[in-house]
Amino acid sequence: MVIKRIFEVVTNSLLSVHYQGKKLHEFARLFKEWQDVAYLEEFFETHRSDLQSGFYGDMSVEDAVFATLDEAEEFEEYMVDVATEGKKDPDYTLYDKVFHPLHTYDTSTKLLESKAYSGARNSWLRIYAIRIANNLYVVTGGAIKLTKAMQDRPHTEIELKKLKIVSQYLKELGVESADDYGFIDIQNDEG
Amino acid sequence: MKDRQEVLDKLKGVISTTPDPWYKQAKKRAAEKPWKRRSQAVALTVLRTLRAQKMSQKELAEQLGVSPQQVNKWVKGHENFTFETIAKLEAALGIELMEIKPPAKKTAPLEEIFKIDTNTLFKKSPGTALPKSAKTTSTEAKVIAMDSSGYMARNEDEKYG
Repeated sequence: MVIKRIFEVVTNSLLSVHYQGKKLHEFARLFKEWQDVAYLEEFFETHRSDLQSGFYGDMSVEDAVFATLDEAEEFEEYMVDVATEGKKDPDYTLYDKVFHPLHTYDTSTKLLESKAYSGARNSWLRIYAIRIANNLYVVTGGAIKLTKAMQDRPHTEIELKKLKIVSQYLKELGVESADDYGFIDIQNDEG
Repeated sequence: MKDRQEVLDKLKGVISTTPDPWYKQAKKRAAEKPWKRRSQAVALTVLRTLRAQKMSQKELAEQLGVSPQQVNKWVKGHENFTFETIAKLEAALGIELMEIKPPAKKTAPLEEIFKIDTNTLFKKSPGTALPKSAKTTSTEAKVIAMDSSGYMARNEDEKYG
């Protein structure tokens, strides 16, 4: 997986990686997929056993599709507000507003986890990012996470690989010192 | 942790100068919000029906005489469907995708509709009983229903009248 370029989603605050061969950068790709009914129906049908395993209760494919559409829509609206604010004020930052790392799983790589959700129930939407400075994040990817650990399923495991690839890429650009990296996923708790 | 501006300067060469496409797409999606959920519901019903009937999108496209790309676009849930397309999909899949509810009927008492004042209608002499036929029972008061446009519901009238 090769990095083509980086987009600035929120001025001076949120960057997003565009991989070679992909139509969109990751942040844009995620919100497009999370609001694509055909994509979601196929995804939840493929992962029906995870959906109904009890981790998120026992949900039908139809309910899962609509829950995702609702959350993605609400989250995106909030992010548009943040990005709009960022365009007006370059010092406007995300950290205190949107991104909340919750748990440290691996202190050596500062692997943190939080949830990306905009509703009352636990969300399965995840956006993964690397924190490269105070209030500066690079989105490396994201997923619908139906299992506890990222390693549990190929589509979430690959997101770990993407985090490492981007981390290495940034290091080569001089954004260095491994200790400075924090792998996080994000939460919108404004809903 | 490095200073934010210092890090941004290092990334200057790889940060795209073209505008972020997401912002424009997100604004468009927000503008489509008033009708989008209906389109998404249609898309999901079509997809679940295709799956249940073991029918491919390509087969549906052939049946409707449209391209597979067109069907693929419909089932994403971003299409502002026309009634014609909905009707074609319903016929092809043998399902109902949309139900239009008739306007709600407003029921008003007979006296309110016609402003009947039985005392003036039948000028009765003091102490004279009102003719039996002029009495309005509560059942009769309900028989004529009118909808919001003033249409008198004939079937209700016939049913009770």
